[in-house]
Amino acid sequence: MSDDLKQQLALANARAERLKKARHEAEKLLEEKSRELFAANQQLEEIQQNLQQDIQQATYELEVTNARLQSALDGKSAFLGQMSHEVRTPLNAIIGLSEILLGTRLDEAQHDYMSTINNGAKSMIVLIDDLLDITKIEAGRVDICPEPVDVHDLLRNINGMFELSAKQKDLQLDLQIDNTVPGTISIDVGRYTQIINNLISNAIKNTPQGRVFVQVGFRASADDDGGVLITKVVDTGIGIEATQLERIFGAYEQIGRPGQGAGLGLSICRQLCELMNGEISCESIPGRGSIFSVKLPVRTSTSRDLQASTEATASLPSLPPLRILVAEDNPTNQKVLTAQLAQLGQTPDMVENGAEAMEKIAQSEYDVVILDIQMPVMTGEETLQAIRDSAPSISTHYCIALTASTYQNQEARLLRLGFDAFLSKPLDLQVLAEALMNVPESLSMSLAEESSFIDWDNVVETLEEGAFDFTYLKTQFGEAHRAIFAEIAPSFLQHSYRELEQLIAHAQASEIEKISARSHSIKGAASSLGLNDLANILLRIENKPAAEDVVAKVTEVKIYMDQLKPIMERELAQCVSEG
Amino acid sequence: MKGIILTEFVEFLEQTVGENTAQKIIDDSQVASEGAYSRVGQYDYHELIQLLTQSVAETEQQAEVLLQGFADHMFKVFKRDYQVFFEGTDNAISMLIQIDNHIHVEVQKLYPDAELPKFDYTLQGSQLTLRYQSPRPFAQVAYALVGACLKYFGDKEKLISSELSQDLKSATFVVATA
Repeated sequence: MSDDLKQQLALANARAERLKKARHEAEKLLEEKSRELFAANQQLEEIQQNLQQDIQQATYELEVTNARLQSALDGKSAFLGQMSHEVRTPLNAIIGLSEILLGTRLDEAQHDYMSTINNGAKSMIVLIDDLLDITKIEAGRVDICPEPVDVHDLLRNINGMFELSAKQKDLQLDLQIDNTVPGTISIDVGRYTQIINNLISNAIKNTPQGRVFVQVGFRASADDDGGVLITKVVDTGIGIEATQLERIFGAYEQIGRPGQGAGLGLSICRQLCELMNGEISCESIPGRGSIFSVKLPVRTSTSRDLQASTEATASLPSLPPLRILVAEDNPTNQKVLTAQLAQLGQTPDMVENGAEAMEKIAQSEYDVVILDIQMPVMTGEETLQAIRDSAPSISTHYCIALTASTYQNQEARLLRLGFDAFLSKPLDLQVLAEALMNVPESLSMSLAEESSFIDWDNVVETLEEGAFDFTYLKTQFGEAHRAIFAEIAPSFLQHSYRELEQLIAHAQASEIEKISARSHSIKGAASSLGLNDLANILLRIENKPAAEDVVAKVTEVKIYMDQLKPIMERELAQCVSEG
Repeated sequence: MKGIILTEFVEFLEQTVGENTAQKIIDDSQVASEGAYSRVGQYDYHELIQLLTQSVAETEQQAEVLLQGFADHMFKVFKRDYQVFFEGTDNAISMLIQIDNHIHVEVQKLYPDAELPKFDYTLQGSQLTLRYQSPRPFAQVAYALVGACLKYFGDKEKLISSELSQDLKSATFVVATA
């Protein structure tokens, strides 16, 4: 082999050797890198595990802290609830007894003092309610319960409650409901009322002169069973500075003059609006006035769930004598309730606890049993249970719960337990009267009594005599009675006869809800003319729209009204010729 | 020094002077690693100087010419294996100004232990001043790579001036659109 060839072979071998070595080097490096990667991975996993442990530990600590805070909050809430209960009992006595005294013969100064005491105590109740509300809202314990309601009636009633206070300040109070607002909507009536009450009350408070104006509109949503109810409370009052506008909805803030409450109202309004998925806002010009706007999403309701209670008037309804049993341990409350029932012409049997109540019920039957919830020996709840567990003669008693504690949705809870109605202390005379009006036995009794006075043949005869009975209109309007008659009779003739046609159709089709609603409506018109006989027949139809003889009764109404029509027309003609 | 420079220098030698001559250069240079380089390995940078010196002696070519050839070769390798260096570039200046911010960042991902030279720049209008700084005396390699870059992009830009420090650890290049 030549030297050159040998050299080339040696170089090739050296190259091969070099490449082999390089490969080993690369493989060794790869293994090293793999080990490094593995170690790095291990380290990462360890870090991740530590992190998870840290998170678990932190979560656990947070849960413990949260539970401790919740328990402290619960304690605070329970304390507030108990305190409100304790405060309500004496306030109940002050309000109830001062109201009764106000109804007695007092000189002007005494009446003034008593009225101040009464108003002061009522303000304290409002304050306690506000405090409780804030606590409940902050603890997330307020449930929103929408129910169908005639929102027009509701708003008129809310507005009506402020007519007196507006008049006392010489303020004009107006309500305008846009015709786009549906008749019946689903809304939490209590909470909505609370918001609007608060806004109107603030508006009146902060308006020295001019006008408070409630404007209500509705914006239908794209899907046809809902929309936004827009309620604006406009005033020409002192207004709010721009710098304060941001703060007015915060808790514990107060605008306007000092000494006008704890300033919780608007905060409650805001929080309630938020709970109802709505919003509240305010525009204002200092010295010119303010506009508070509340926008709440609502569902429109097709059912005409007309609530008899929205008909409430300021005068006390007359009740037939009822057999009432009251179980109440507190002597002051006993005295107040006895006095209030006396105002309503009722004499209750009074016992001190549930056990005594059970003894009484076993001896004699009652139309209504009013049970205080917190009583010694046997509580109201235990008593109700005992009543409901008894034989039918006892278990069917109409039972009303009476409690000073409004804390944590008592009403819904007690109604679920089986109470027929719920009353909260301090007990308003009007509310008590309405509750007793709802007692079914008494209603049917009074109806039976009323209807027994109607002599049908005589009714027809009276009408045939051909004169309209002006007794009612005379007592209401005195000398102006014929002029009033001329004003309202044409509309009665026009609308009520149209409604009668519909009532006949509803009766023939057995449309129970519509029968009630329609007869209720005609009854109202009849009462306003003093047509008591007609109103009584209609009341019977309204209360028993499913009765077998409903078609016959409606026919009687028709006959009556057919006879009435020419008589009224003749009277009208005479009124016109007189005028 | 990162192995890839050395593996590619050997590759360049084998392509230009033949495998045997390349092996002879390696043998004669008496590099400690015996030329058994791996891309991912780390080697003494003196080995590159030894190989270069031996190549000049063996081929009787000027160092600058050899280096320019090596730089052109490197650019082809970059294009083949590291497409990511070329992202967002369509001319030499845009490539040169992103050496530190983009190319060296990508290099660090692959080779966290790489000791990279530093390139900073100022751009005035269409004129680029690029400054090279390194703990190693490779200003000439940098010069060659700048030239390779201009060539790769079709010599649309020109190297107006270049200034290499005595110790070859720093240099300034001025490049402008032709």
